[in-house]
Amino acid sequence: MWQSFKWFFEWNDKTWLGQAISGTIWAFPVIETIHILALTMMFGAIVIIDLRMMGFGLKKQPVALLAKNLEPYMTWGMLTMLATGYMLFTSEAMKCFVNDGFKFKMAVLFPAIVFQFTLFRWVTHKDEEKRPMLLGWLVALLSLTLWFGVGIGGRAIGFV
Amino acid sequence: MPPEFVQWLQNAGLATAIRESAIVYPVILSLHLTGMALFGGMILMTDLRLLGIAMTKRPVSEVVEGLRPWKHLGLTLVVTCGFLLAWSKIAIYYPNPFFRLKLGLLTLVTIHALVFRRSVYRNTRELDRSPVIPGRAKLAAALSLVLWIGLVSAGRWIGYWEPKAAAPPTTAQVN
Repeated sequence: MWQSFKWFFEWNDKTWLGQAISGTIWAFPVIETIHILALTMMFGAIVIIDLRMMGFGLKKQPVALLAKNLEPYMTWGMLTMLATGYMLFTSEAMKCFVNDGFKFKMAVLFPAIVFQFTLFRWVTHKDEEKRPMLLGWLVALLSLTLWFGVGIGGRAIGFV
Repeated sequence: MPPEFVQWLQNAGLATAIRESAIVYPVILSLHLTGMALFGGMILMTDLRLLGIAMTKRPVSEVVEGLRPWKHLGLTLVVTCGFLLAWSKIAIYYPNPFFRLKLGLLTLVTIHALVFRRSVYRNTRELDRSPVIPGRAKLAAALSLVLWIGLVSAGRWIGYWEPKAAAPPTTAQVN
């Protein structure tokens, strides 16, 4: 299945944007720094919601209210990460194509994004009284696991 | 520090074990980043609350104190792992200007904490009673954000510097 995406990587390897980024020494580090700062913003917002849903921290705020307060940071953090992440990818697409860390990251990233805007959103917006405690824990742990997996995959790209 | 001393530090048993293991170094690095994401996220929300940007409908004390235990957990993780990483390759890191910049910022962050701890971060009840957030608290928050963003950036740039940078570093060598 992975091989059938080869054309996509080959095309991305040749974009003017990718060429421009890989053509300088400073662009990649600068973009990666923004990528990591956005990670902190997104992950921070998600972790605060997850912990609250498991019954830790900020207990005076209802989950739904906290989630609505923090969603802009989560969403904008994620959009920044996707934009900068794509830039990094297109500057070294063929390297990513053969990188197991990258494959793992993509395999976890897409489910994580879908999960974040469907199940996570639905459960966090739900009335706490009507939500089973176990469901909250499951969703929080799943969210932490998925994003942790994305992070590990990302970090592994530089090592494998 | 004299190079011999730096080399001696790096040759310690634990440091050598971390450096030479194919798996331990990346694992500690991942934990360092996990701690950073946790700590950074908590710092960001604490500071944004003090600046009057995020969660403004909730009292300062509730936000700052509610996030504090997780902030401390993240800090412990990031500092412990960071210390081990630095120690294991100190002879390589020590000449790196971004590593030195990071140590400098770390010193400033410590001073920042000592200066503002009593009057801002441990004084949230007082801040709750104030009709507007005092300038001192906003200054503390803004400085904290600038210092931490600088620190994270310097950390990331450590990996891109090479001694006697004659040839541009290729991304394959970066990790």
